[in-house]
Amino acid sequence: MRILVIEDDRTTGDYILKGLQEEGHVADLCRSGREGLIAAQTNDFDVLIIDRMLPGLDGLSLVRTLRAAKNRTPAIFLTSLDGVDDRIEGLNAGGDDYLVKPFAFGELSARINALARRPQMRAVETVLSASDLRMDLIRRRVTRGETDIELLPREFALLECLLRCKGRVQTRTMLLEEVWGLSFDPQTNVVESHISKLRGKVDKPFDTELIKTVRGAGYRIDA
Amino acid sequence: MTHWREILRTTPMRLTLRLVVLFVAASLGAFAVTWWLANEALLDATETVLEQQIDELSAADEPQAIGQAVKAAVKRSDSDHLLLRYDGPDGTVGNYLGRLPPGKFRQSDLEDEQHDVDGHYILLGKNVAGGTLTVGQDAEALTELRDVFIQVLTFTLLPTALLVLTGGVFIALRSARRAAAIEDTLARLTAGDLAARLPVLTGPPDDLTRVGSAIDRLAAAQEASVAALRQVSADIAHDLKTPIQRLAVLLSEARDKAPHLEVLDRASAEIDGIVATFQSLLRIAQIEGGSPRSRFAPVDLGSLAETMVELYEAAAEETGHNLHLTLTDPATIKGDRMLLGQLLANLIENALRHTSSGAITVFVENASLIVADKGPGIPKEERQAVLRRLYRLDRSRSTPGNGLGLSLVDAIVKLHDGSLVLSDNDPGLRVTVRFAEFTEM
Repeated sequence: MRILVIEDDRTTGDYILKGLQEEGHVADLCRSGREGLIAAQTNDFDVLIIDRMLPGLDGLSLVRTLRAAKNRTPAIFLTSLDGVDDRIEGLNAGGDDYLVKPFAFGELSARINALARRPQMRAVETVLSASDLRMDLIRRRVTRGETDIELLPREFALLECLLRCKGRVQTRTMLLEEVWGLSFDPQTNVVESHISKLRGKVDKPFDTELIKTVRGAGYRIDA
Repeated sequence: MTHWREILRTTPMRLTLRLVVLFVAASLGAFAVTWWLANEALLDATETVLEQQIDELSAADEPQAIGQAVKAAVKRSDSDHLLLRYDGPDGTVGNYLGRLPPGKFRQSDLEDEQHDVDGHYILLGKNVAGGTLTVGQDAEALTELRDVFIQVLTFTLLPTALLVLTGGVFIALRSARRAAAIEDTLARLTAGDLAARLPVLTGPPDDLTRVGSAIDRLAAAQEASVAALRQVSADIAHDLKTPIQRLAVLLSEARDKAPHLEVLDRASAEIDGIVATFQSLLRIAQIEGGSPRSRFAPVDLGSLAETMVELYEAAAEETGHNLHLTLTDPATIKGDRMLLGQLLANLIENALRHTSSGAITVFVENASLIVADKGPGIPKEERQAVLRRLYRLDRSRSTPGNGLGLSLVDAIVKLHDGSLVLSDNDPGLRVTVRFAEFTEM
């Protein structure tokens, strides 16, 4: 993917750039808002990563300008400001996602992947599968091989979310947002407890483990 | 000198001066009109008397006889009071032979040393047989009338005006003293002495007393919030110094041992803790600073509690807790769903963290949320303190947490105009949050 990073802090910018390049993306870095706006308008990027506090032109205005010019490139805001208001303000300005500094690179990477694939997920799928696991969304049935697996509604939703994003990491905060519709930061690792219960039903009785823990990021079901 | 000028500039003094001027002007006007009317009446009466005199003297209608009558009348009367004069064909007779001002009915200052005439007189002249007959009366009555009016004026109007002025000055002095006290307190507050309060203002309460007590309340609120700010700054400094110190130790350890995953993990956990503390503090500050209520929407407390309990159920099971939900006619309130979710999460996490095992029950009763546990509870005298930022009970120092959970709950409750009560669950802690029920208009 071709990704533009607009970040004035040298250390953070280089860290993101290096991480993206290691994951095989082509990444450009701009250190000011104006520079970033010109780069975003003249080149075709798949995702924009924009710091909210930028010299010259702030991140919010930058995205507003892009959206006014009918540029729909998905944008993720990075911010050191915490709070609901900033989040909502960012999304209203035309941002697609929002990440509070300091963040783990795994979280950013997972969100970039989720954003870039978003348009392709439009196709209506009725059956999701991975390896020998099958999920029938219409009959609400989950099977592994020949065995039926009984899941509680929330466990079903959790598994569905992981299966839909097969091959990509889903972070704990992403799962909280998607499955429970909650965007807050719990101190206890609540999602982990649900994953371990789900594993007890989906993975434990079988030979191969499908739900993988990605260190420092979240969970993934491989394709 | 400047003192007097200051008094003149006070509101009561200005009002007094204006009232005095108005009162004096009105009184003078009334006096003038009354005096003028009385004067006219007196003059009318005098004219009638003089006319009668002339008619009597000129009854003969023959110059000789009129002259005789005048001479006789002069002998009978005193020139101080009555003037008589006949300018006839045989010359002038009478007790006043001096200059005579022209006109018929007039007043004039006359002087005739020969006849001992000196003063102000009212004169009436009339053409009679053979010449002019002039009769005059001294104007003592008019002068007396004027004197009476001047006396009345001096003994009523002047003392009244003086009394009002003195009262005004007195009130102005008092209000100037009060204003000076308020200004003095404000100056001290401005200079940074937040403990400055107004001295007790003497006298019955008035608008200045009200302003004064409003200033006192403002100063008290200011002092409290600054004290809170100082407390928080000190707490932050203290609470973050410890993990940063540990972090420094871990990093130097990592440098010595070459990259060592376990040490780095611990360092990373320390950083997460520092960040979490900072974010919670910012969050509380943001909510206390008045997170916009425009985002408030109807929130079904029952379904929110269901989601939160369901979310924490698995984690509770793992730690040997038993998380229950009891719904009794759950209400819908107006609020921020995310913040209310955070509130419940904090209360549930607190219960999970501070009780080793056992039942934790979440009740939703109408517009109230209750989270009750069977743990050690919080001693009565500490219940207010635990709402303070970064405050932790001594025995909780060893458990994870940053001492911000309940402060955040408190801030969210206040934002929603609710009430927060910590009570004894006998045993355990019972946290009750009451909101106002939302009714569709």
